[in-house]
Amino acid sequence: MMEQKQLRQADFAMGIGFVLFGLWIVGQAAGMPRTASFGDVSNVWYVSPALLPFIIGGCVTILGAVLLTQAVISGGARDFIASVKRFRPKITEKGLRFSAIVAALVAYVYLLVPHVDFYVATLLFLAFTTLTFYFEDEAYLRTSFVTFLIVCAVLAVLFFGGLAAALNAAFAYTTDVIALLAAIVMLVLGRRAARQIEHGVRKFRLAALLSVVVPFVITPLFRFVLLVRLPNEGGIVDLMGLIYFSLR
Amino acid sequence: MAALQSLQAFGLHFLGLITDPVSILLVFGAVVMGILFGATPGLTATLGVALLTTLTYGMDHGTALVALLAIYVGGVYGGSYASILINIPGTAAAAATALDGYPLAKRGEGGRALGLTTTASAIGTAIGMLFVVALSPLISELALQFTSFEFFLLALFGIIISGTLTSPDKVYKGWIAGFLGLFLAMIGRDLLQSYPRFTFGFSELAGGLNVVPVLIGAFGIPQIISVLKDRFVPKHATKFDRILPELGTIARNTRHIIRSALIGVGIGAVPGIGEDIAGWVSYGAAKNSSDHPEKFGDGAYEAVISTETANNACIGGAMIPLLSLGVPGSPPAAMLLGAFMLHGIAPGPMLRIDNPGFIEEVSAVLLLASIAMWVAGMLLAKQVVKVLRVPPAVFMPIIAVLSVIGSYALGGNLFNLYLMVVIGIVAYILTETGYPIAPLVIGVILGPMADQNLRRALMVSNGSFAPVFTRPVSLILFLVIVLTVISQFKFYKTAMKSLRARIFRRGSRQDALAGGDRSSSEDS
Repeated sequence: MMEQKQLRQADFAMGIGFVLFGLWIVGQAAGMPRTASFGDVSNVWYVSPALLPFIIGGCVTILGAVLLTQAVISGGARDFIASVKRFRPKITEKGLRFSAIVAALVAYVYLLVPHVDFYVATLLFLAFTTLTFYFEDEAYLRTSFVTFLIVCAVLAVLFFGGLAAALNAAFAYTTDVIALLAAIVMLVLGRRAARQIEHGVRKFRLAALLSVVVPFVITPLFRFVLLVRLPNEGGIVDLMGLIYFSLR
Repeated sequence: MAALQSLQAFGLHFLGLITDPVSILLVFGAVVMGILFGATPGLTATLGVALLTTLTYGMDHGTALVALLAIYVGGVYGGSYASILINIPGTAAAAATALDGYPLAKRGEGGRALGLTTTASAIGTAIGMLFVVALSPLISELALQFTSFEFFLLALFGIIISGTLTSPDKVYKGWIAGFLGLFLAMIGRDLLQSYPRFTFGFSELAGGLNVVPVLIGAFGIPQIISVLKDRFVPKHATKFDRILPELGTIARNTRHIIRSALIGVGIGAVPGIGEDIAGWVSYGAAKNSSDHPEKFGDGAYEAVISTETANNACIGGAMIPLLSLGVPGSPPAAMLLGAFMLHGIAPGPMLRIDNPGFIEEVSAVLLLASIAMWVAGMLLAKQVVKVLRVPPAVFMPIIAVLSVIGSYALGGNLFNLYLMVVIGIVAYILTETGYPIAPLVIGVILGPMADQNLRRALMVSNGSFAPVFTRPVSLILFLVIVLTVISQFKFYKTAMKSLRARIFRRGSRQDALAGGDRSSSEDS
């Protein structure tokens, strides 16, 4: 949790946000059938689907207003406005670490898992996150984060720009190969940086091993033992399936 | 007669479990997994239950129940390892244990401390289990008399009390979190008229939010982000020798155990607040009643016994409202509720009718899990302690992967994943700015109950709220809610303070007058 002074500043911003959000809920509820009939069912106010949303919206608005008022009284509003005025973008290590983990999660869920073979997607995610956070080195954090963002940008253009379909039409697993190459790039980057970091080589070996082995365990566990159809089953999952069903 | 039948059912379930090698292996395995989750700072019992929910989705409900309860019991106990050996609570439930556990470890009594916590935790779980068997059927019977007004007020009470007691900053932040959870529960087609609320044309939202991915997002993602964003500072675990059961010390502290168990069960039964509060309240009570309160903070045995008994007894306490009313008593119990619903079990007053013997089955599993936890704790402590040296950067990304695939596995719906991350990031922001997550989760779970019952109640009463004041249980719940809310305001605190001062002054004046009369009568 933040420090008290920062909390009061955040209360000002959150208070405004909650007041607006509460009013929005009330506005949405006002558009729901209250007395008019819906689906041939005649309505009265106490049966209306708008009843609890009205109550929720009203309560959130009131509590948001209380939060806002307290923030103004305690000086949080003044401090917030002052901090906005003197805001200068500054990249701290903590901010970078936060951005890296959020970017990794967002990229994994919205970009990689739906479009890339599950094994490769997980390999790329783990290769980035375990190396970056295990090395505990700010310089490597910056390099790997930028590299990861470039990789994600390329993949995003491929998938959302419509190029992936064309590439996969030529060879079915083209995008999986590109993602796999990206994972290899992350690992090579980590290997090169490991020499300059304390206990780097040992850390790299463990991180690389986990990046390769963990999806190797999780993928067949969920696909063939728990019988969960994976979000995207590309080359590696198909190969695992081939081996599994040949051995059965 | 019913009690005898209940006891018989409990005995049969317990016998069935201990004579089935698969169940025994499963209990031990899940307990050890729970201990590992609890012992590792950054992982929680709730997250353990969440991840195991997805892994046991395809199993029959009996097997899943054994695994989930065992990991819950192990997870709550496991937090004491890190508390005692490195002074960092493995889970919030063990935060109070660190105050005296770590000083004990520093003076070379780490093994003794772990022995005390292991035995106290097992006793706490067993006592909590007894209350589950005894009270859940009674409360279920009572709840069968409830009408829609009672259920609506119960849901509202759960959200308000959870928000009041768990808020780390201003109390109304807890209420805001509760109402946000209620809002999330409103998304989808309403159950009475099928009107789509807050769906914005997305067909995936028509069925409402899937509870388990929301819970995984709310509990798991903030944990992953907050652990990884800080640099890992390696802590060296204090060495310790053999762990002994310390039965003699336990016997000498029987009164602390009984009091702590009652505190744990009582606090566990209150919706949304969990094992951490039980630990702290029990610590305070033990210190106040101790013959040597000055020893607290320096390694007092009663302190570690009290906190660990209470936080494990809280497990049974949390199961009571969960099973009898469908209202989870703690965050892990909220996760369990999601798991039960996935397996087609609807906790609540109808549980004993729809699934007879389920409460006794839960109790039998809790007893077996407490025995397994004690055995695992005694034998495997030295191996479990090695996890304290593993940097979070190694296992947290793996937890993230399991959370993602786990959320997806429930229904095979990518939308659940997208939702999980959004809710996770929002939950992280809320946590950082002083909002508790437990009321939000309670709101999501109890929202449908609140919505349907409010409208049904008003349908029956033709829009009148009079039954709230004419039905005794409704009136009590209403008054408790109102009192809980107004007791947070300054005017109420000031009024109570002046009332107490007036009563105290009147009492002193009467004493003084009585003293004056006595002396004047003596003079005469």
